Amino acid sequence: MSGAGWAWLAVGLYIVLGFAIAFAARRHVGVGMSEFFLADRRVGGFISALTYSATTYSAFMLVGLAGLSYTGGVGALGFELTYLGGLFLAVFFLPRFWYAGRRYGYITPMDLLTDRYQSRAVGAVAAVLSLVFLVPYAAAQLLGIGLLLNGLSEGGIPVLAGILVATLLAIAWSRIAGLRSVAWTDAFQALIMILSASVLFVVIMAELGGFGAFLARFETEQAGLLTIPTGSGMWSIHMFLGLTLPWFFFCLSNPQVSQRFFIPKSVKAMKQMLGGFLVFGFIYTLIAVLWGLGARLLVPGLSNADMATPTLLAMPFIPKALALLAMVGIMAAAVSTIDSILLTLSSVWARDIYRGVFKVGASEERELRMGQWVIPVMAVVALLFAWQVSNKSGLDFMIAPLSSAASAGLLMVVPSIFGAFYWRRATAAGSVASIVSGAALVLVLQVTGAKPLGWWPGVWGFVLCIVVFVVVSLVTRAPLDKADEFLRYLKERLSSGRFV
Amino acid sequence: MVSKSRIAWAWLVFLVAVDLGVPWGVIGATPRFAGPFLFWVVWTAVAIASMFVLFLRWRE
Repeated sequence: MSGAGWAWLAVGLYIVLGFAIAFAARRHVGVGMSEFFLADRRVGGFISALTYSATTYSAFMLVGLAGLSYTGGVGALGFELTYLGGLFLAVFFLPRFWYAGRRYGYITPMDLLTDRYQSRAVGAVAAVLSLVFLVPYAAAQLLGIGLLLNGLSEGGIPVLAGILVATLLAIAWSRIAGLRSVAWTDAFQALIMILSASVLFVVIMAELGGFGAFLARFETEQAGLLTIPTGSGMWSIHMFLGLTLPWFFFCLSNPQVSQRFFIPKSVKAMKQMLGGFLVFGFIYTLIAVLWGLGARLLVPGLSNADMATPTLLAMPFIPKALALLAMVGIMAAAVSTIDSILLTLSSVWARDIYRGVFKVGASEERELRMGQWVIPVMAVVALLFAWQVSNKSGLDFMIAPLSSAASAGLLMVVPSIFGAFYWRRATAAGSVASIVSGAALVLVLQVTGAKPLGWWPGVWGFVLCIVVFVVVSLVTRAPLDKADEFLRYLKERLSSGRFV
Repeated sequence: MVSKSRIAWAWLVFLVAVDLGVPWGVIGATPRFAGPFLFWVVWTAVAIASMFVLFLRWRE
């Protein structure tokens, strides 16, 4: 059988298993927005941890981050591990989201902002921000799958075909049973992902003569890639902060992730979700980076660094079955991220834009139907974006920078989230003005490619956003009654549960 | 008395300062795995351990 034939067979098996799990999840589905988009806030710790992991980690890791490590060396490790360190924020915010979500029935993070600031405009603006900036992020995942299938099939499967398959799967699995099918398939896929990556990592290291030999050889042949900045000067502090700042706040700024803060069924499940994710993330990050560094020794000279993993998997020393398993693992992780994004965006559209702006007071049934119908629309937009990007090259169009650029825009909602939980005087006007001004600046800088004084768009946008949020809040009127009630409730709950 | 929450926030700020200061200010030019690579691995292990210390205390 040809390379393309084996690749399609592996993809076929993965699809059948995924559908079986998604339909099994459907048997447990009830009715309503909370049920469809949050699995009725009754997800166990194990599934919560795996769906959080699979939603966060995707094609970006073993394709994008491996590619960035291949090109930039150790800075890529610092970039991704700083993200993981940023999960420290979840120690503060996860219980706050969780308790507030249960008390006030929030479906989306924007729903929380709408209620806390007593302004539909806040939720709507934050929702539009997500719609605009999550599309490139979803597209980066689709692109990862397209490149992976194309590389493994030695060009037999066109990039567009891989993108199409992933899009259709993401639509189906998010529509079948909402968060239940997404979370269950995520869990299954996360396990494949970590197991296949671990086994492949061992095989790659064996080919390099063992872990010790790999370290020694890399220090001899590629020493420049172990320094900061690298020999080529790639990891300047400007680039590092430009990529890392949005990533550090990822768990708050990306709604498909922060929406997961609403789903654990208990405090114990919350702890398991956070702990499980941290362990998963640490292992997976090390594998992805070492994988990329290993590729630098085994397949040097690639013009497109995002092809490092596909090229590595196609090498003769890797058993075909293992390569296909790894391919399925990466593809599954990418699909799990995309379907989570689609599900979140559809809930955001239904709750914060449709019901929040266009049809105030619409029934929950109608709201849910609207959310379900918008899933394929979002998917097609992401597909078209990925298709466009697939024809471009250069650092800006590599998966990791593309993903980080998307998060730079989403970063602009972070001051509003901080204000909601920590600043009684924060106002709706401050929130709206900060999101709009910050996002506009980020967009302008990204489109023009400008980096004033060397700093990246996300850095400038974030500084502007914080200043505007504080200044406008100070000169406008805060919803103090709501703020007092909201913050008092959380303070009581948090102090009784030994939270910080 | 300084609250546990403030101590936790201060610890986070310290971690971030170290995360940037040590690689760029101290060991960045070390062309070995025992340079920035090892630093970031240890830094993350410390960050994760401190998160466990904080969230394992949570109660229903």
